[in-house]
Amino acid sequence: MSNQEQTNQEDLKNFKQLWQQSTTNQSIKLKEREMLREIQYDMDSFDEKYGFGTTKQLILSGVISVLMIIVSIKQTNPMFKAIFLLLSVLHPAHFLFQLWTRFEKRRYDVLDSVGFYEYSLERVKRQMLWMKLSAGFLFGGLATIFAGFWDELSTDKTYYTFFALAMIVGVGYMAWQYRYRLMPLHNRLHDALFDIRNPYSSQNDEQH
Amino acid sequence: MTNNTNTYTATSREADFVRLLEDNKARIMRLCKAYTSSREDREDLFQEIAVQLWKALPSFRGEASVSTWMYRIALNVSLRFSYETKRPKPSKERITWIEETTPHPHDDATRERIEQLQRCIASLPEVERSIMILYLEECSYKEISEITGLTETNVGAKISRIKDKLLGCMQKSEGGV
Repeated sequence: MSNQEQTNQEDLKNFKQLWQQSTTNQSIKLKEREMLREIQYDMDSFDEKYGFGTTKQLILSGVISVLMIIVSIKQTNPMFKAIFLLLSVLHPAHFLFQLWTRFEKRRYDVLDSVGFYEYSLERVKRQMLWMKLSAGFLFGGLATIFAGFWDELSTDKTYYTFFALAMIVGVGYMAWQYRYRLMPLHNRLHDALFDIRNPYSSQNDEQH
Repeated sequence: MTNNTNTYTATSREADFVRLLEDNKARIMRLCKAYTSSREDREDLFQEIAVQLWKALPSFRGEASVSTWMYRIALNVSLRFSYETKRPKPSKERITWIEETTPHPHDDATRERIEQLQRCIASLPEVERSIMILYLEECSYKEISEITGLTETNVGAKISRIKDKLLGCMQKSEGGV
């Protein structure tokens, strides 16, 4: 190795040292960023509950769909047949809905906080819309059972009472999820996005 | 770091994340410095890398070493960050992730050399800069190859050329001082 090469090697070794000295773990203090982290936890659990592709959701969807198809086959009344068939596609449709929402992710820059909040808010809003549609549909089915066909079902009242109760529980569960899970998450995301876009608003509020 | 998603609780994910960030914060910061010119941008980039690492953590399968995985993500975010010159400025109200207490606890001469080195690295084209940073971080050719997607032979050839450039730049800077 020539003298020049040896000097260069030493220089490079020295550069490595300088580079690593330029910033050390001791010179950096991490601060917590609670707001983002908390919302990320919330979005993780949101994904777990409503997201596309979790095993639990897929199994549940499959079981409900198959049950609805079986019930539909058993029906002789065409209106009931249609209701149960529609119910059988409700869950798979929900997954398609979620999939579509996921595809929309490309429209947002989720690496940026604003993009992350916007995307999360959009997903929550869509889930809320879906909850309203599904609950409305279930409620419609329920109303149909009670209003139009009750008399025709006198032969198998226990079966349909059980079915109507299941629908009532379903609507109640959705309403609860909507009010106590989705609404607070929506509000927090909305507020976080507002704070990020209007950095001085909280200071102004404090001054007033 | 556990990779079983069923048992990967929020608490263990947080603990892994905090440990990862604590262990590598200086490395990430050095990388941020090479891709940004202002303190605000540096902090934003650091934060975006941290966010991305947090999001990617559950999908880390241990196929590569933690540092290789981390550098791959950090470099991708940094490159993207440096391309997006027109991205909206994040607000200053965002809670800061980092606080650099004593950036250069060195004497004037060392500090000057560090700044020269940082300037020279910043003047390199994007890909060369990434490779040089990894080289200075003591990554092996194999690791650099895994992180950048280049072949090891290519990495070796590039490093040899970049070293010359860096030496030339440093000598020029020192000559000019």
